[in-house]
Amino acid sequence: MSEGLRIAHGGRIDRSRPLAFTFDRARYRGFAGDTLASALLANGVYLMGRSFKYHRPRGVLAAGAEEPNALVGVHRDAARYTPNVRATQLELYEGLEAESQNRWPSLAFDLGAINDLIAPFIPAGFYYKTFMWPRGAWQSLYEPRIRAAAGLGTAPREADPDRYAARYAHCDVLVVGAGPAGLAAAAAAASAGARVMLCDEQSEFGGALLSQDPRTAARIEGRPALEWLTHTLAALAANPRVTLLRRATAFGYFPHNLVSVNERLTDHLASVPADSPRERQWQVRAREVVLATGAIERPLVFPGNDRPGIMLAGAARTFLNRYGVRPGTRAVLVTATDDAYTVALELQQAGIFVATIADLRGEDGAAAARAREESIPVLTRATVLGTSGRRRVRSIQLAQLEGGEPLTTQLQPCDLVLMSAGYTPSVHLYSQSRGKLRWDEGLQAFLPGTPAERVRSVGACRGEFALEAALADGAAAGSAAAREATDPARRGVCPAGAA
Amino acid sequence: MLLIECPWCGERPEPEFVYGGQAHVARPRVPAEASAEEWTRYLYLRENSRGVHAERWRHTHGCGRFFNALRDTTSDQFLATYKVGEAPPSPGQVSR
Amino acid sequence: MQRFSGLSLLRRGLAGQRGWQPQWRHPDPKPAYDALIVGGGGHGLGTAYYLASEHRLTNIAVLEKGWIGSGNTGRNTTIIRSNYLFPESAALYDHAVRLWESLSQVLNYNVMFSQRGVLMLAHTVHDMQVAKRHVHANRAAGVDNEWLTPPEARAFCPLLNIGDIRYPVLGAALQRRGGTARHDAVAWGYARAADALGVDIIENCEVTGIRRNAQGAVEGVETTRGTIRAPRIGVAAAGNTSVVLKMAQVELPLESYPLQALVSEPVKPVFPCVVMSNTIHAYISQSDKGELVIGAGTDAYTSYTQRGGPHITSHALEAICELFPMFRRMRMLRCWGGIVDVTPDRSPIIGKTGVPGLYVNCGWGTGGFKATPGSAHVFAWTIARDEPHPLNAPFTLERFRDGNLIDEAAAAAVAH
Repeated sequence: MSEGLRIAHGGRIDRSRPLAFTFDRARYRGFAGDTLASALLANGVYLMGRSFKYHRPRGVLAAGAEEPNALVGVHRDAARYTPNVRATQLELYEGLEAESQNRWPSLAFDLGAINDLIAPFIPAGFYYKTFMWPRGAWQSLYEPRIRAAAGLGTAPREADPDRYAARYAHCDVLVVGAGPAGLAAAAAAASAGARVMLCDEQSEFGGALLSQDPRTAARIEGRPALEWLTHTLAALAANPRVTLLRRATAFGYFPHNLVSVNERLTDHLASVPADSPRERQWQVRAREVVLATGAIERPLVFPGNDRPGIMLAGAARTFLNRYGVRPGTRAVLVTATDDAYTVALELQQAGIFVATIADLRGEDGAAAARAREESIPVLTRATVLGTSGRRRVRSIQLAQLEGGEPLTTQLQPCDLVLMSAGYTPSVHLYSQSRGKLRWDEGLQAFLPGTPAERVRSVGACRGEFALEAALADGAAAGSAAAREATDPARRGVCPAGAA
Repeated sequence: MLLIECPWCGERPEPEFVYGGQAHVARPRVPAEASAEEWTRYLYLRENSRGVHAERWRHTHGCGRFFNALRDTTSDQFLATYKVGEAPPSPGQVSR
Repeated sequence: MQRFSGLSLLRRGLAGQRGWQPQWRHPDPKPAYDALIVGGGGHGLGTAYYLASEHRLTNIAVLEKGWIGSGNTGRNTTIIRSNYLFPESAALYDHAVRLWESLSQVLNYNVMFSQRGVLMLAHTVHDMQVAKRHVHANRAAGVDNEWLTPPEARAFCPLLNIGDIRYPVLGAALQRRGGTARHDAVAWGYARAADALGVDIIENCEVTGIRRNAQGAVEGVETTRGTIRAPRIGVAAAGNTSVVLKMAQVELPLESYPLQALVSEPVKPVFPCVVMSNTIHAYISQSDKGELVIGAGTDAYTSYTQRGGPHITSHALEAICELFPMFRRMRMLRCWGGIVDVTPDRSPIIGKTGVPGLYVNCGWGTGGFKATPGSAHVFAWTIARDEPHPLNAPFTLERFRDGNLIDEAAAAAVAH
């Protein structure tokens, strides 16, 4: 059961407000502030979905919008069924009914997994190489079966009774993303007197600050990070020239600084209010845009890297510090960066046994020394030969490389494998604006290059990962954007010298 | 949707306008005397520039007037808008 | 060419996926060829295939500025039909449909051609008159098309809303032999088959100039990968035709507009056919992967940016939600645009250009994908014989001067 998986204190959940929900018709309890994913993990549920084609058992990989596996269908009533919702974005409410997808007859026992057994014969693109004989058979025989096997969720069958609203807005500076860089940008633009809109796809502003351990988190402007967060948000909320949009995803960047934002108004509520639209789509024409869209952690590629219980190190940290959930009891970390060492120590502090840190690199630096002080074994020049465990990871086979060849191997029992391989800046919106990307050899990532619209990228989304650098970056861009937006000589939204 | 600067009304969004195609396409003064080639050119042949394009817009849900624009069709950024009868600014002259 | 079949999958599967051969080579361009095709989309690659397979011209190359199929071939909504109004058009598009029906077998590559039926909705008295006119014209020309009442249309597509909406469905024209295919597969299938016959496929090779000799005939191209000589050049570079033809001082009656499309999240099978509505500017089908594939009308202004405004796609989605109210809750996963070359009569230009040795295949506007095999077939004929095939003979560049327009604005069924 789950007694040992919920941490007694801390996190941003409200333990005074327990909530009842069902997943695949089984009843569970969680707390206000949980997502479906964090609540399921707290209840010891690791199996949350099946892969698209081979129906391999899948659990959560991430903790936010980038989650690829835990897609569920949400049932409010016969006409309000929503497929393909990420469990990591689904805010828990009293009476939530969710079900897994793409499996029959059940998630635990899925006949579709036969595809996994015959996987060698149905590799990627196999359907281009067969199904051609006899001639009419593609349409009458093969295609219907392919179509039945494809698709993830089920489309709703009845007309949608919900209403959807639309609104146009104009502002001087639109800031997308309310992590530290975005908040700094919005605050700077607001204090320069600009009309500011700040949107974030999450239910709470704060971004990466919400995933830190408050006891060890860095201080901002001389105070604890979360205190800075509360103070900054209060100032922004009190400013009549600032519009704050939570649960609002900026999903499209159109010509001439038109950004489409989708604001979710009722999906997190236990019952649908009669007088509210379900969502509101904003078409925002901004004189200047600041993108603070963050970065997504990279998974590692090794055989068997997709079992339930194998997740990103940052996600484990978020489940721990933000949702008060231990995502496992016995962890192995596989890393190519120093970030994993911080996570390892936090896991250990929270009562999770950290069996090993397998570092792909050769060095044995200060981070490794610190880990060893806490009795966490560190294996350098490591690689992963495979994992085992069908519905949940059970062990990982590590090896140490000598001259590029795996020399010594060790089999580590575990129920949690965390991967840490750096971050990829989120340049989706920037790319939509038709800005050019440039390859950064040091970061091994694409970063925003020459923009095509009046847009600035700040913080992690342009490779500034350190907190202080991100804050400074955001503040500088916010001030500059406000200045240019309100310049009386300024005309239109096209960048100067566009020819 | 584009934001277009009407020379009379200022910046207005694209749905207020109707696109008028390539600008400065002169109709033959005496159509009956135009050759088949001249008439074909007037009716159908177009620059279709990949780059700076001189075009017309009409502010139908505004002042109702036609005007001209220079727009870069590889970025959709406007370099200039100018009234009918005015000479198109050269791209080098334009600064915003 | 390594033969594809269920048996080959079995063999390679047992061998751990070892032994698959590359589907086409990546040779460096030779200094000269007997013919060049500019544009590595479905039309260009198909032309190269038919030149090699039917006209024994194998010392040829396809030059593609990006990667093959990266232009409109990879961006369309995959609808195939031949229910155009005039007999010249119906003949050309139906030639394509008949080639589609055996294309997978001919190329030994499953292009996933599915004749699930194309339903064209009528919402006004004018729509009904136009649709019925098309039905009669098609049947007189030997192309299948039939008129359905609203209940019959709903029987064919059970999700269709034939109730009291702003633009009610007053009936529909159904072409049962119409349907969809997998767009990428068409490019790859033609590429593999052409390569097997000796055709060089040269990617990342942008044509920057066309060389003409003292007599004015073409003698080669300048490209980002060097100069390549050839006495015959066929241009099938939708979205950049005006740019390329200007290099040979040829002016065209083309305007290039953005055309947007979207796909939804993948869901289990729910939509059995293709539905198009000219009046409310939307068309929809469901791919074999489960995604709803939705297309819109063109944006209003010429552009080479391959994107448009959200008001265009919103309008198309509003129309879809009126016709299929159960889809309003579904979310769109990807949205993109292409560049469509539109002619004044919405019919293509396939043939000579007036410059000896230079041939053009362009102006397909919003409807080029459906014609891919037919267009490629007749274009290859034209290049090989220096004379149009009977099916593309009416689609000349001169028709705009001579007045013989083939006006398919209604049949194009996409607002622009």
